[in-house]
Amino acid sequence: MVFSSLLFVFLFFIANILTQALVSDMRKKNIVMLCFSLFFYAWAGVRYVFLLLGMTAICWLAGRLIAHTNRKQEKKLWLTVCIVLVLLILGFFKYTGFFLRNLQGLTGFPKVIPEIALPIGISFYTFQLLSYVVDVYRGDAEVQETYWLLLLYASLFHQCIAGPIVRYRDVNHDILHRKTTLPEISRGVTRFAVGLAKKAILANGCAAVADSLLASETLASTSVLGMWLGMIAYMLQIYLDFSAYSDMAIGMGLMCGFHYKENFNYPYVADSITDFWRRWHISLSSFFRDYVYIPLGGNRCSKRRHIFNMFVVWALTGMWHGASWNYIFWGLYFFVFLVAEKYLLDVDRIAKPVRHLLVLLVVLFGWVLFRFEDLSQLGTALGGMFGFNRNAFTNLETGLMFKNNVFFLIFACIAVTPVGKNLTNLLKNLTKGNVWGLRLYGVWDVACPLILVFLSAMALAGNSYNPFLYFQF
Amino acid sequence: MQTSKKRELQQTRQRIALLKILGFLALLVVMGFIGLLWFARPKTSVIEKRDLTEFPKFTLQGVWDGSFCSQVDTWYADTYPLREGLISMDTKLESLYGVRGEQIVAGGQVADEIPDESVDLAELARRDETEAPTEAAGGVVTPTGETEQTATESDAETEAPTPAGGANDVTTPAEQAGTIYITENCGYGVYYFSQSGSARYCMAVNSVAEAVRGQAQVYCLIGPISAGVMLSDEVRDQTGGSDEAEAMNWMFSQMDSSVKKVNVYNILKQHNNEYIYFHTDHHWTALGAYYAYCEFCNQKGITPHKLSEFQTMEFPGFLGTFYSSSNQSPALAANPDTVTAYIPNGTNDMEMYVSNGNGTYTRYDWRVVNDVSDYAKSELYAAFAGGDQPYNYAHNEKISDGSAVLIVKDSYGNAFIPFLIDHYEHIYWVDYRSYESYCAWAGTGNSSLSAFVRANNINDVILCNNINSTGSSSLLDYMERIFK
Repeated sequence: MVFSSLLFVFLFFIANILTQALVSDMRKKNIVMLCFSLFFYAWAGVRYVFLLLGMTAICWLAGRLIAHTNRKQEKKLWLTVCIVLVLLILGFFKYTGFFLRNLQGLTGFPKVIPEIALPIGISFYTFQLLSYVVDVYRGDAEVQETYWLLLLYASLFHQCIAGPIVRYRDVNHDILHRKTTLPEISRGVTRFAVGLAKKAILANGCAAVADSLLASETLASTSVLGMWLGMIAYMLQIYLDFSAYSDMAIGMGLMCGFHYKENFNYPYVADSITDFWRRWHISLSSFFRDYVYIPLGGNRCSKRRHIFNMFVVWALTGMWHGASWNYIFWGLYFFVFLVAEKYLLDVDRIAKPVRHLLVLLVVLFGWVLFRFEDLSQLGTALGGMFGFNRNAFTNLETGLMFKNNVFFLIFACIAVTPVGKNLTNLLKNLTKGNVWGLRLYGVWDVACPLILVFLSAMALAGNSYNPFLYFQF
Repeated sequence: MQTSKKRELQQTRQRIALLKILGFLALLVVMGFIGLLWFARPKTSVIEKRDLTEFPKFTLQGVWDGSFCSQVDTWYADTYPLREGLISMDTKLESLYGVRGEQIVAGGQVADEIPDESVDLAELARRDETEAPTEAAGGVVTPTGETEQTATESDAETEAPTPAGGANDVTTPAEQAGTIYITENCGYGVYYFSQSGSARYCMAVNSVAEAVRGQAQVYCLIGPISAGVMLSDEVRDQTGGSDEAEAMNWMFSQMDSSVKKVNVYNILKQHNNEYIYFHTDHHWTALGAYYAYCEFCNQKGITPHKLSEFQTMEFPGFLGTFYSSSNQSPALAANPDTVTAYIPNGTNDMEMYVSNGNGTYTRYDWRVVNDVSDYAKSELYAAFAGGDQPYNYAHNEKISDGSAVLIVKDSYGNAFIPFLIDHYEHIYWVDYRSYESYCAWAGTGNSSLSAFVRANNINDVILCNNINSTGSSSLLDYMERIFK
């Protein structure tokens, strides 16, 4: 079940918020929330629930062992055991196939590569659980003695399968003592609706353009402009899609008293690559910062060591996104630019508009690396963007794709900037001190989420007709 | 004063928040409630001409691996009671996305090169056997044939239930609208040549010719689709489509010399300023089929009847397969078609066998040109020859020379058949997509065309399908099983 499905919005989610509102006792609230979360997780296959239960058990036990001893060595031992175990499990599910494929390519062994399905959300909840254990070890978080409460943290359906990666110390208080207030629920409603529309209308609309122009069957014949248009649509899609999930998670959290940190801060307005990574998937980059980069020595060390630290972090960031070389290249690609910004270039000397443009270009090529797991397709796409595939500069299909979607694409471009947020704030400020002004703003504020949810339902209904059904013949 | 204003502002703010939350909850609850009305959930989509997803069968394995739940997800959305209305609204919204007077729907297909004449068919047919380019690449496939009639039937109709073939009939598989180029409120079907498909098609035709040699004359009539006939070569090239004339010439060059090749491309091209293709549907109009019939008569050496010799029926408001596969394009909705049908003079009575959906068939007495005024606006092409039923027969009592024709066809044949009625005493037509399954039920034992030819003393076998079918590997599978 994904957030952007009719079943989720009109059945699961509504049932969840109504029961959360009706149950008053915090313990019962949490039990209900846990049941909903496990149900949500089990929807993708009951078999993976056991993995989630097991991983949580390991970290719960490790947390307790660490907290209940005063001996530093022992604390360290349990921490190490836990991290190794958890990463082995993650590695087994996520990287066995990748590793064996490469081994096979080099040595011819093994003959058969086992198909290991990736349990949904494992990359996210593993990191959440790791952050808990490390924080307990460091004394930054209180130990959770009750297993099912830790399970609630790990499985909470708001963020379990697609982030943001929430730290235990940030939600511990909300798990035990959360309160809902009218203004927060109201903010949550808008945030949820905005996220839903962002995904159902904008991201899916961009995906339609990108998938049509960058389809693997026809990639080699896509025109030069078509390749660029497709990649720009993909660039818009990936941000709108991912940040929409975070919006919806944050919105749902607010509606029942959880406070999650922001995960995106308009990354496409960044004026340097360093700035981009401060704005993109913040919960992941701060995870790597706090649990890998700083423990390695961060930047308080020699230049060489610093570059090494950055290399490790960005190779890992790449790997985290998927078990394929293109993701690793993607991570290292950013490593190169980040090192260059740190040690080679003085970005401040470049005029701001040019800087913005350059950042967008660097990020765009990053997404080309990100999109194509098949390296030969990646070559085709890169070649195609520079006219090396001997295709026309543009053709009827590209021209029509642009003409047919021109207003939509302009709108999507505006939607990835803070323009909408600033306009809303302006409106809010203008109407602040005046009852009638406030009422006028209220009409907008009340109608907006309703319209967005309805428009999203329209868009999702159309998407429901699964092409697969059509191709069964 | 100041505090009372503050209080008022505070209260207003609270009221707005409360109103927003209640409105949001109400919308979700209402939409959720509608979703729970299991009896209001549709089972078929008339517009999309397909069965909607069925509620999956519960299995522990499915729950264990998640497949059951993912099917429930699909089922919930696919049969949501307001779905078609929501989609239609969404399409209207999407028409604001840009300038949409001209567009390509389900694009992204690539045509194979048309080879020269000296190739080994069998080798070509084996090439990329696993690939089916016209189907794999994003084209929207729509089963043609009639879904159940949704309009209430008139009293006169009640004794003969509406044939429920097509979407209800798993044995009648898809023909496709494929890639559509829409411009100036007209859709055009774009053709992509498939080397392996076309080679297989030629081999299938040759094997029929071989099997009935000395018993019947085989005619092969490939119906071109609209882009190749109606658009200039330049525009067609820009859409990436293949040259249909060239493709047909190649295929005909690969067929046995005993096969009479009815090449209708030129005559249609000459008349492309007339209404020979629908704007919202992938079929030709009866007028288009008439010109094909003229060319057939030319090949057979008989004189075609003039159009003025026929009485006509008209069914306005037709919104066909292009309309549904473009997700109800407003450009097409603005330009609905009128189906004109020419009633045969020999007889308008026929019998047909309609699938009951469970492997059994029911015989109906029907009309060659049927009044479809009550049918859904997407179903008006069903006026011709009973639609896509597996087995049909008409007896023209005005002729008593024992002449018999067998037309083996997909839905392109439907508009063509009424013109043939006047030229033979016995007119049989079968749909190659479901004929084998019909034979299994009828207990004929042998579903080959040659067996049919022998059993019914057929003089002429006309293979009539549209050019897209010659590249569709799933449809070729059906042909190969009976073309012998």
